[in-house]
Order: sequence, then structure tokens, then C-alpha cells
Amino acid sequence: MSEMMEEILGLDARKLLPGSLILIEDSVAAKGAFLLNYFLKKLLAAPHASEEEAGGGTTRVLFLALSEPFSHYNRISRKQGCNLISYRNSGRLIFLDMVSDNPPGSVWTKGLKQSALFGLYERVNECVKRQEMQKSGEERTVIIIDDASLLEVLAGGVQNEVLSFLHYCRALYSGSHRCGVVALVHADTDSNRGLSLPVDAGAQSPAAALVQELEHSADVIVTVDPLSTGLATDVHGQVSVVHWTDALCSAEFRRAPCTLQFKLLESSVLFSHPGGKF
Amino acid sequence: MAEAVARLLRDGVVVGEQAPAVMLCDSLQTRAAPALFTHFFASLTSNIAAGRAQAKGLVVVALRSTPESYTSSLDTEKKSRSSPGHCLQLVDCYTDPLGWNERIQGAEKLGEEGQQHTELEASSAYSTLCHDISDLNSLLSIVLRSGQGILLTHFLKICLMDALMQISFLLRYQSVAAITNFLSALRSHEQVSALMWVVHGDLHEARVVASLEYVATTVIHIKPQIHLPGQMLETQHKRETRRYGRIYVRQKKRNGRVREQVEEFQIENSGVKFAPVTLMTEMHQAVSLISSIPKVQFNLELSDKEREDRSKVVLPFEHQGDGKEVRIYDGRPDSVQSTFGSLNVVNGGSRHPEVVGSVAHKPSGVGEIHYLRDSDDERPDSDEDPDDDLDI
Repeated sequence: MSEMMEEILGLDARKLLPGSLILIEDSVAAKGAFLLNYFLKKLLAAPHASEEEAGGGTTRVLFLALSEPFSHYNRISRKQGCNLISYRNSGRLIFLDMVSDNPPGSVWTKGLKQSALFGLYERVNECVKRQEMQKSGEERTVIIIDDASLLEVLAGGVQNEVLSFLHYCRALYSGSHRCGVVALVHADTDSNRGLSLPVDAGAQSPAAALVQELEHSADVIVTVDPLSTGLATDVHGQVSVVHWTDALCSAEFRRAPCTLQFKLLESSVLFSHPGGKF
Repeated sequence: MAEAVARLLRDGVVVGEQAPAVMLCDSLQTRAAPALFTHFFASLTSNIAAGRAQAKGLVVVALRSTPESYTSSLDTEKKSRSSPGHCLQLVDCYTDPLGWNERIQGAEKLGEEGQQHTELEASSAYSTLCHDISDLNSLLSIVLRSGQGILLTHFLKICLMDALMQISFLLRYQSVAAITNFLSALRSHEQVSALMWVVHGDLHEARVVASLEYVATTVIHIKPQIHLPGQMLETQHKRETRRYGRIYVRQKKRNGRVREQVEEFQIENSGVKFAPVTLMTEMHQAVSLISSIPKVQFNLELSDKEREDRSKVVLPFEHQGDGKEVRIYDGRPDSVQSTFGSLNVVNGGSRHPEVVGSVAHKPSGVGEIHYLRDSDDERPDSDEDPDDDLDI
């Protein structure tokens, strides 16, 4: 059933344009973290099967975990038939566990004072470069961030830092390609969403909402919402995908936004068209 | 209108004036500014390549989208492929806008790393890396220097297109004053032929956008297509809605006249197409026609012929003329027939049938119901209260 999602995302044959940003927006009522697992599995597992016939061209994943530790993702992925430990050992997955590795606060004391996320970027950069040296050939790196809203906390509430960090992640070269970024953000934590603030801007330009800024630069926006009609036992929410550029699918890029409903099971995620059967 | 803007960029600056500046302003509703930008970018590069433009080269400050996206768009145009360096210079503010990479490399001092870096830079001979966009003076000098690279080969003016000179991006790190200063410095520079930049209007305060508008000579506001209530229902339209939009082009003439024009655009995979606005009256007519009729499978409206035919129909309770003499009943007892005979209403065949009563002979002994319609202005199926004129 996940083919349906794949089709709508256009996530076929590792067609992730270098330097693209896929934004997953979720809300309190419907968490979007399951999509990160979905992406993780798709990016790691799918190319592996066709690696031989495609002639190289692997996708590596750098997972920047800020909200949950490795054990959490590992447990979920194992149930979905994807062993993260073996991927980590083979070097295709790099897991930056910011939850258990680092006590909170240590990242920004490590980096320089004026840019709190610089230290974190240094680590990401180091990992990507190290990965690059290990193996040559056509390869791509995708950075998955869970979640970008916590980056803002890490940066001490400075939005520009987060945006710069994400920008640097996208601009980062791995081999001959730039890295793709998949980031989760909480759409409802921005208080000033949709407003232009009447803040007096001297040196500091008025801060538009983080999500709004990111939406402007995202190539694909995946929104996770609860059902508009209320709670249901069979349907856990809906996902709508909006393509702004052809980052994922080479087909018509400005096509209509698609909405799918999803049901979370213990071992998998089921998608269906609204009103359809799972 | 879009052609006029493209022409403006092509024709460039008049002696003794500041360079024309075009500003594109979009919002999250359309996100069409990059697409429109690429449109103008492509038309200008083809103009420059053909030698039609005043400018002889193009400097692109890549802030938001990758520098590769500009060179690759040129690669598709084969004619410019032969000499990309001559016509296009990139200022790459995308890779390292804040100097983080430089700092890391400086700290590591890895030979291999450095080599790779120079390799990258060498591979893009026509692009310059900018490591610090917070220093606008240095950015200005980089921009002008890369312009001079073109100038050395051609002794004419260059055209600066500050591409996805996403001012929105710059505004994160800069004050408005610094940026307007930077822009007007570029405009007034003698090498610069024309200038273009993009702003995301909804990320900034209105006053920020307004102060940038003052610097620009032409402002293109990109708005979503207007939806009339009836239109929204159509799924086909909804499907296409993200591809359509309107541009409001505000041009400031040298004599101070400001002209605003509206045009529609459509984003296609091959590029952007512009069309004059569908007139509101035309649109409204079409919409009202669509919306007033409920969506059913059969036709509810009558054509003229059908309407005429309908008026000819004689209702069954109106007696047909059965070959007997038709005489109009005027309420008085007939002189010939002292009693009520039959009443015949003959339809004259006109649109408004004459109501006539007629008295005719009928064999007696047969019971009949006779109908007499007494008023012509009332349609048979009128829902007017029949007891309206009842005087009790």
C-alpha cells in the first residue's frame, strides 16, 4: 500500500534532486514522525535492491536525531523489516544522536558563541566528508532532521541560525552532488504564523515564522493533519503532498496537491485515497 | 506586459539615468517568482547571446537556488553552451554565505580538503564564491569585479541581474537600509545596465517591501488567480489553480508617471506563458451561466424554438374548435341559444392565446364540464393565488 504514497511523492528510483528540501509539517493532533521512518526505510532499503543493476548510485543517510534516541528509531525500523544497526555498521547510515550522546547545551558551548549551530554543522560536515572518503562512486547523501523545530531551541530561539543551518546542509557537497534534506517541523508551534509582525526592525529584521520561511524554499511540502471530520478508528489522519519543484518526480511538477489517508499499524503504515479501503 | 519588462531589461540604461530595476514580489500562495525569474533570465540570456541587448554579460548572484541551476538552464540552450563564461558570471553566495565552510577548512587545514575545494572552484571558472554576505561592500566589489571580467572581453555595459538575489534571504542578515543602499549603489554604477531581484512579500513587513519598491523602477506583484465563487467548484480549475496567477506590473516612468497593468500567467513545464486578462464581464457571464443552473443530466433551459413551441400547445382542457362556429361569449345570454351550450376556447395560435368562450350546440343529455378562462395575462401554470381578487 505504500506504493501509493511512493507514487504521489514521486520517490521512484532515488530521484531526489541534489540540494532539495522536503519539508514534513505536522501538528500536535497528528504526529508526522512516522514519515521520517518511512523516508528512512525507503532511502536505505529501496536502492539497495537495485544497486547492482543500476550500477552504483547509493544513497546514504545522515540522521540527525534531536527528539528521539537511536534505540527508538531502531525498534520501529526493525518491526518494519529494516535493520538500522547493520546499515549503520556498513556506513550507509550515520546516526547523530543528539539526545543521548550530548547532554543538552553541549553543542552550543562547543561551537563559537555567535553561531550556536555552527558546532553542529561542523559535526555534520565532518561526517559527510568522512563518509565520502570511505567510498567513491556516484552517491548521494540525504540528511534527515528530526526535528527542525528543536534546532530552534538549540540555537536559543534564533531563527536565522536554524535557517542558515538548513541552508548549509542543503549546500553541502557530498561527492559531486549536494545533499538533500528531509526535515520535520511543527506547523503549529509558531505563534506568529501567517502574520507579518509589526516589530520595529532596526538591526534585526522582523522574524517571519520559521515554517513560513521554510515553506518558501522547500521543494516538496508534506503536511500531516488529523482528519478534518474528527477522530476515526480506522483512519489516523491524512497526508497531503504538494510539489513545488520537480525535486522528487521528473513528471509534471506543479500538479495538484494530493491527499492520502493513513493508518498506522504496529509494523507498517497503510495509505489509501480518501474514502478508499486500506 | 511581460514582454515590456523583458524589453526593459534588454534595452538597459539611458545615458545619465540610473539603471532600470525590476523587482519580483511573490507570496506563499503562488510561489511563482522563481519561475518568472527564470523566464526573464532565459529571455535576457538569449538576447545577450544574440547581441540584441545593451548588456554584454550577465552577473547572477545566486543566493537561494543553487548556482548549478543557472548554468544547467543555460546548458539546455545549446547556443550559449559554446561560451558560457563570456556571457554569464555567477557570484555563488549559496555554498557558503556565512563563511562556515571557510572556517572549518581553516581550522582543519587539510590538504586534501583544500585541493578538493579548489577543484570545485576551478570546475566553475565563471563563478566566484562569496564567503560573507553580511559584508555588503565586499559583495558589491565581488559583483562588480566579476562584471569586469566580462567587460575586459567586451567593451560595453554589463547587465547585472541579481538573481534570486533573494533579498528575502539577505534581509535575514542585513538591515533594510543596508540593502537599499547596496541596490542603489548597483543601480547607479556606470557598468550596470539593468537589475532584477526577488522578494517574498509575505515574509517581511509591508514597509520593508515598500522601501525596496522605491528603489525599483518596475515592480511585479505576483498574486494568485482571482476565484469567483462559481469557479471554485470546478475540480478541473482547482487542479490547475497552482499553475495560474496574475501579475500586477507597476512601472514608473522617468517623468513620474506610474502605470499599473495586469496580466495573467501560466506556468508550464516548458516555461511561463503570459496572456491578457480575461475580462471580468466575460468571466462573470460565463460564471453566472454556469452557477445558476444546477448540475443535472437533463437540460433545464429552453431554447427559443422550444419556448415558441410551448406557447403553441393547446392545453387539454381548452376545447378545440370542432368544426362548429366559434362565437365569443360575452357574458350575456345568447340571442340564438337561450341557454348555455358548450363553451369552446379556441387557441388562436399566437404566443399569448386569446381566450375565447364559445357557445355551441351539443347533443343534450350528456354531462360535460366546461372551462372558461377569463383572463389573458395569467399563464395557465402561474402560481399566483387564484383567490387573489376574491372580494368577500
